[in-house]
Amino acid sequence: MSFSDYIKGYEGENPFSDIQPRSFSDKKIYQEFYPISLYWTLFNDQHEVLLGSRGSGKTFLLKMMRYSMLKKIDHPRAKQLVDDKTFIAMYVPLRVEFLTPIMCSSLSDEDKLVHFQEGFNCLLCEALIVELQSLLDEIEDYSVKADKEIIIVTELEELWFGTSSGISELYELSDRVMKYYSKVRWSSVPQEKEFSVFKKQICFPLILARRMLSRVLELDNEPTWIVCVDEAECLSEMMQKCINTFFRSDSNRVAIKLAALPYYHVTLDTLLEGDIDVSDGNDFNYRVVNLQFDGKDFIGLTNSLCKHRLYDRFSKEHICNSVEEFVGVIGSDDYIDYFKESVGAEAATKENILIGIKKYVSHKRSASSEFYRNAQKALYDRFALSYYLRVVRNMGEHQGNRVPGWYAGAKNIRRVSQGNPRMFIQIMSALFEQAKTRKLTPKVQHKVIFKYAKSICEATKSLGGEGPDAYSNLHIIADTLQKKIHEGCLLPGGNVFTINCNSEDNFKKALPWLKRCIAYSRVIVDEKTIIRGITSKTRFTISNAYAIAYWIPMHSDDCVEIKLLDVPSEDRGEQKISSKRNNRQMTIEEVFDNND
Amino acid sequence: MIKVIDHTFDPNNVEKQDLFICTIGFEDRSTYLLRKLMNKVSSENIRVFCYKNLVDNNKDNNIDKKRITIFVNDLINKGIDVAYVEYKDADIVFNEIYSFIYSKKIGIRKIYIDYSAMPRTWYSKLPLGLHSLIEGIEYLYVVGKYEKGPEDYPCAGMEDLMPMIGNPSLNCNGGLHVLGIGYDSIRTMGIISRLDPASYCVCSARHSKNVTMEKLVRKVNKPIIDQAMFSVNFLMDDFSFMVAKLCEIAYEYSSLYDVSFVPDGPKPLIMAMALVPQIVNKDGVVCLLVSRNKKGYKPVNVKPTKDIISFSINETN
Repeated sequence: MSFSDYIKGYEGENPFSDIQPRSFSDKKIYQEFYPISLYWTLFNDQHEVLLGSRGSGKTFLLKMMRYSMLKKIDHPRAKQLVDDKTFIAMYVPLRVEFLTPIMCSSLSDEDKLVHFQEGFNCLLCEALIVELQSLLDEIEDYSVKADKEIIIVTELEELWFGTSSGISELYELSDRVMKYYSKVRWSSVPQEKEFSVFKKQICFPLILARRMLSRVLELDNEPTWIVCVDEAECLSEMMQKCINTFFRSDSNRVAIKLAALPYYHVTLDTLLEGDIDVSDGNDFNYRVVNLQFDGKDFIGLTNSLCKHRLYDRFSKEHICNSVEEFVGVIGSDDYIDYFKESVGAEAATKENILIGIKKYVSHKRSASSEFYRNAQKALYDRFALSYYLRVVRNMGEHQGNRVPGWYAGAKNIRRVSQGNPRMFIQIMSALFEQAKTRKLTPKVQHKVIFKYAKSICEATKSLGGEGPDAYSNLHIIADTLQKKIHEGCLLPGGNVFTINCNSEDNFKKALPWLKRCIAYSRVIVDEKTIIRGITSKTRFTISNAYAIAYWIPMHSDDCVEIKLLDVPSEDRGEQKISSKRNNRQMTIEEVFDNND
Repeated sequence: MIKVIDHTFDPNNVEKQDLFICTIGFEDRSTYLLRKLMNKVSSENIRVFCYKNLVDNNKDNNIDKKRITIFVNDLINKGIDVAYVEYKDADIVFNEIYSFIYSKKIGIRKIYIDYSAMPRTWYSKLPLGLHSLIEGIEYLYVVGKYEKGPEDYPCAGMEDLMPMIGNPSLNCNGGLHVLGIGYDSIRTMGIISRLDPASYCVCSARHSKNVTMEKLVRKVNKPIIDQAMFSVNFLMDDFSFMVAKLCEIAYEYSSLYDVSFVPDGPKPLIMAMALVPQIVNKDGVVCLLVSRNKKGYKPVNVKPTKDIISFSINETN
């Protein structure tokens, strides 16, 4: 019996319906936090640019680096960091609403820069105040705490505003920063005669204040102040240059951790004269946040999420410790187990599989296999997965709509999630909803996972300006990979491909949608490609969601070169998949709907 | 205090000394009111804007440029002033309209602005922007005849975000996005993928006579609606109620977080959402305008119905 069996008839809220960490309270963030191996390595004094696809967990990591949150983690390393106070981090989110008034004004770049610095520094001061409150809250003696707060507030007010208005509490200082921010006219030229610390380079208010803070808080060693800047993909090129300039300068014990989507850190230029730029490895480091779906971190994270989210609802009666416990396990949760589940034990014996494979491979290979010393290695290991896919897909499409129980089990849930925590929660939400009304058999899981995979493919259309191109090109790619497995003689296949664009020009045209696909986990590349960029020789992996929707093996046994036509997406129109059913063309929606 | 007033527009009540301002687009409904009024209103009291790309020599299989050019020439021959502009000329158009009204405001009775074919960057700022010049301008929208379902109005998707209305705050506690939805679910999904909202609600609007539209909009946007905190449906002919309700959402949630309106769907809904930050006038209540993604977009000639939605802005003490 799997845990999901207990959910039937449950009428409460779906514990997996919350997917957006920005809406989470601090309590929810730290309760749900699972420290992946990358997390602890971020506590250093280097400037770093964290690259991760949408939903990969960047916000969670940065929010949990805050000193106020670090204190809440029950882990010896966290306790060490808190005791040492060698790193004090704060969280600065750069929302679209924050940046748009600056970017869209008709001011000159120089004036926009001043406004950006002004706005950034206001955000930074607010973030710093939150962490200072947390540091002060550790002082047990109330009068000592109050004295220190008064000193800090008075000194900061003097440093930041040049005046002292008699405020004595941090919330009053925060109000003063907010009032300053609300008075800024983003579409007006910054008044030169109005001196302001906020208008100077980013992080200046912190640099100005750090020694005083260390002294008043009686920190043994001056800490590195880590500024965690989130949603940096919203930054314009000019703003990125501003941050790069900071990377290049003397850090003054301030380190920036900048989180962005892959390829959204578009420039290494700075604002310094003389064409000075920054370089990865010297002035800053790139860190890739994306997890491998079968890696230890993602397995641990998914189990932890599963356990935590269900514990809130079901702790009294039952405990679910892992995704495996939630959906149950068939055999060893391997492909052969789900193949057996779909076609029956008889058809899934090794002998019958080999017979099946021989029927589908080329005559030459089939004939020569009689002489193989090790038929298992020659045929079974190489072709089994392609064979399974062909048989199971045929079940659904050509055998009276039998739904296979193929894309099921914890491994497939993690596969379709592609190592992306947000996608994992989305699929778990869908499974939980199903479990409320029916048993999560492999067939039911298959339907949910398959439908989810299709929705990811469909949603590709809407990935910003490049969405239509991405959608139509990925269809061509997936279709090509699919045909290799499902048409003609059986071949080993995979989800890895390279692109042949015929010309340098076409390759350049393809780059924007390829980058978008990588940023949104439609296409997977290695870390080096995320950091260094895409070349004409790059090996891409189509996402597991696409692989599932198109019945493509989710492995890299083979690499297919795909030629992309230079046809604009508006001329391709809606892609149609040909189907032999009823001898008419079906739209992609109809095919997917009928597969249900 | 700003008050939004609904009006019942009757072309028969328009008089010679009234002012009429409109934009010619590729849809027939963009010229519906102009054709009705151009013989009633003095030609010097009419100001027409026409997109340059509708009358240029570049071939476009989807737009009947010849027909539009003939019509525009006809207007010019009748002494009506036609200004050729581009989609991006929001400031230029605003200044032209402002100057036009300013030069004529003595002696005029009513001013009508037909925003049926204007892009949102133009019309969203007109009511509060012109309000200081003269009160009571009536903003008109010609309801379109959407005979077919959403699949026949190809999606535009989103390209990018454009200037924002309202001022942001320093609030970092997530935020509520209020998304307008319509037939273009691709655009809405694009907005969601771009903004990655912490939480959102959705609003849709239909004319009271178009009962099926709401069902269709809900159908194409189902995955989006399912993930929303809540959804609200409006009747666009009750424009003042729509604005009031949206302001209510802004007031209610702005005490907790920032509220960002991201309008889409029918123009009256977009207009209403764009007005909210200007009416509420609170830091953190903003409106983000979205530009169209031209790839894969094929314009559809929407015919006019006889229904006109009209409102004006007044100031009360």
